[in-house]
Amino acid sequence: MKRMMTAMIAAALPATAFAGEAEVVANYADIAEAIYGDSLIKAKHLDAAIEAFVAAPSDQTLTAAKSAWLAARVPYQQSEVFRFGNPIVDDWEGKVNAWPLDEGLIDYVDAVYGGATDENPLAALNVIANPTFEISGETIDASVITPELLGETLHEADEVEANVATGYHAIEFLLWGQDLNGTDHGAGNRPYTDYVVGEGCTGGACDRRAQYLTAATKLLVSDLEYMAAQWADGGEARETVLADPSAGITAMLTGMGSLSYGEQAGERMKLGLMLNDPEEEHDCFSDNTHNSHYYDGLGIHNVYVGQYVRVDGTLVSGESLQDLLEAADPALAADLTAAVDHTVAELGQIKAAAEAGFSYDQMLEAGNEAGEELIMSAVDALVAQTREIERAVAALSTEIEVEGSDSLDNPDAVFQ
Amino acid sequence: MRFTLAALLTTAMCSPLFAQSEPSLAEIQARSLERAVMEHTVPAVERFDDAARDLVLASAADCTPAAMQPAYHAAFDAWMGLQHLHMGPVEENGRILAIAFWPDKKGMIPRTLARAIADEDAVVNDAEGFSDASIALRGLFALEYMLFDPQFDDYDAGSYSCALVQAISNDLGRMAHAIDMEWTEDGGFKDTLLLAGEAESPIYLSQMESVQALYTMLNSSLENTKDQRIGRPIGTFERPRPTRAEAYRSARSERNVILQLEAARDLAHKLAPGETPKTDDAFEQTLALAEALDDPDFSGAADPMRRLKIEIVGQNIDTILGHIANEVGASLGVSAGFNASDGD
Repeated sequence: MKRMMTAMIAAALPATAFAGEAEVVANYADIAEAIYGDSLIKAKHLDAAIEAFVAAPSDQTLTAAKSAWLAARVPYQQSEVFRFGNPIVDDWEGKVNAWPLDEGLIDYVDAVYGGATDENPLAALNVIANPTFEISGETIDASVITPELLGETLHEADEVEANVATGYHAIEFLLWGQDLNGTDHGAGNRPYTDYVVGEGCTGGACDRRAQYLTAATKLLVSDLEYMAAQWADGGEARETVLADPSAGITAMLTGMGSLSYGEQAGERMKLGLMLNDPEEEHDCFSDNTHNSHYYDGLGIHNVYVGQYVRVDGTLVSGESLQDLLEAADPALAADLTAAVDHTVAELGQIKAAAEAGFSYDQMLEAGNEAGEELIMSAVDALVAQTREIERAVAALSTEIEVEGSDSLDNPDAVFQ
Repeated sequence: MRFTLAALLTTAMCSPLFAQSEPSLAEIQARSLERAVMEHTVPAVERFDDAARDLVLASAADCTPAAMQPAYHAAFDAWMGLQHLHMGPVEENGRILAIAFWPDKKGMIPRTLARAIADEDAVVNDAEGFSDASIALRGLFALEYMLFDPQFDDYDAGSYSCALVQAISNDLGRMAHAIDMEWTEDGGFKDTLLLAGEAESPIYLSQMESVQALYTMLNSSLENTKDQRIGRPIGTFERPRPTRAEAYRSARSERNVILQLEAARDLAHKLAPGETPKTDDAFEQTLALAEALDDPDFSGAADPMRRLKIEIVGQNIDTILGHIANEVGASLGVSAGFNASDGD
């Protein structure tokens, strides 16, 4: 995380709290609890599907595991809006959703992938093929692949962010394999035989690959258990937003704005388009990027309107930011409502085109005008929405907070 | 009419006759906006346009590295006076990424250049096609590889690489000119900022929003210098990363920090309604520390003592930010909004 937006403006505003803030943040916490709870439920389904797959590898069991992964992404992506405003989430999320990754750390890769890079000496380490190896001069015993090995030793090894050993995208790579279709249609196509132990094993070390996949999924489940608990009654994340509703409102808006602009519009969408690089897809192995973008956008919408549809179809809803804003500035509330609706519609167009067969990697191809138009319209909508969110911050902010610094009063302190 | 009014208000402020009248916050914001837009942003886009045109001419005259390097440095210098204005025509069509794609975390630039050269990709002969090409093939950082990296810099006039260098230069010239025109023409982005809600197609609904947008650029540019230009090469004490320094191949890493600080200082002055003594002192001290590094490519990041000195420049940027919040932001009634570096 680069920076949190601090509470802003306010010089011209009276320092009074808005009625209803406490109800709004309580509903926000309820939505978070439901979303992380759903993510956990779906991760457990994924774990069961993966156990069935590695016990009896076949096209059918592999397809079932992939379907479970795709379903697991639906609630999780809607949770991303909770990241930026809540340090407890942001400090944790790298374990479960880090991206992009140098997948050669984990398993075999195609020759075009290359080897170690300036940035990452471990880019082609291939843990599955190598029971022992060195990281930063230290010999690592990886003869048994455990959740601890993945989480504590391999993840972000050598302080390189692209060394993603855990989470959804590591599992995605182990299920789908590299997408070698470039900007043509098609996802990764890993054969189920990569998990056949003994005769018929492809890709080598099939037993270790199964160990890795199982360990990574168990770790995902336990990481999600942790986060779901943080939002349950008495959980630290819930208590933090309830304790100071005004700060909670700022956290909600910060999450919406930071995800909209710097993260989704910039890093995930515009950069990939301008590089024409299908590896810049967020869910690049599975070609599920249209959904990950869509559900990110829907998550922002959820927080604004104070509603979330759970994976079993039940509705969580209550007092919303939209209600607060309507009381404070009805015109602005209408503008922000229109902006988030528009973004969801634009992201929905990408999803619709992708599901009809025009996949996200095809949209990224250099000179593909229809793809560029689809993606840039959504980027523009996200940027426009960010401006309305900034206005909402100004309208709902009750704190005067001048950004300070430890060294402010004593500039020479840094030399001591 | 608005500009005349702003000018009158400025005159009034300076006149002892009106010394008693307190300007309103809106008047203060209007004056700051006028200064920042006309005296900071407009010269910045014009300088970059001029320097990029010189780069185009230089590449046409002699495309070989030794001949091109001075024009490359001049264009990069001018870009450092503009790159913090991540808005309007600079952001339009992803130009900021096309002009300066950094950091290139996955090594896309050398891979893409090598592939284009091996295939003799005909896109270099098609200006429009080139403007649609991957940003890994375009801009100042692609040019830096071609002019300074041993893998690429050994080519002759008339070679494919020469044509590629000319295509990159022409593309930069085209973008710089488009930014200049779209910023400075009547009804251009300068008017979008100045007229705010009364502009033809408003982006900022009030002059306060325009001021806030510029103030956000000021803050985020300094944060970027600390987190990226300094943070990437220094890494951690155990694991410094000198080859993650910005533009280290052309030994511009320190220079870019200095030029960015100078650009930020100028913007802070133009935005500030009054004196900014603490901000000035902090800039002066930070610039002196940066100049004293004597480490053009930040290779010193690998040495613990020299690494510490680079790190201290970053810590001083925090001091600058604190003073800017008090001396610039608070007196304008604004603080920073969302920026492109939010996220990860």
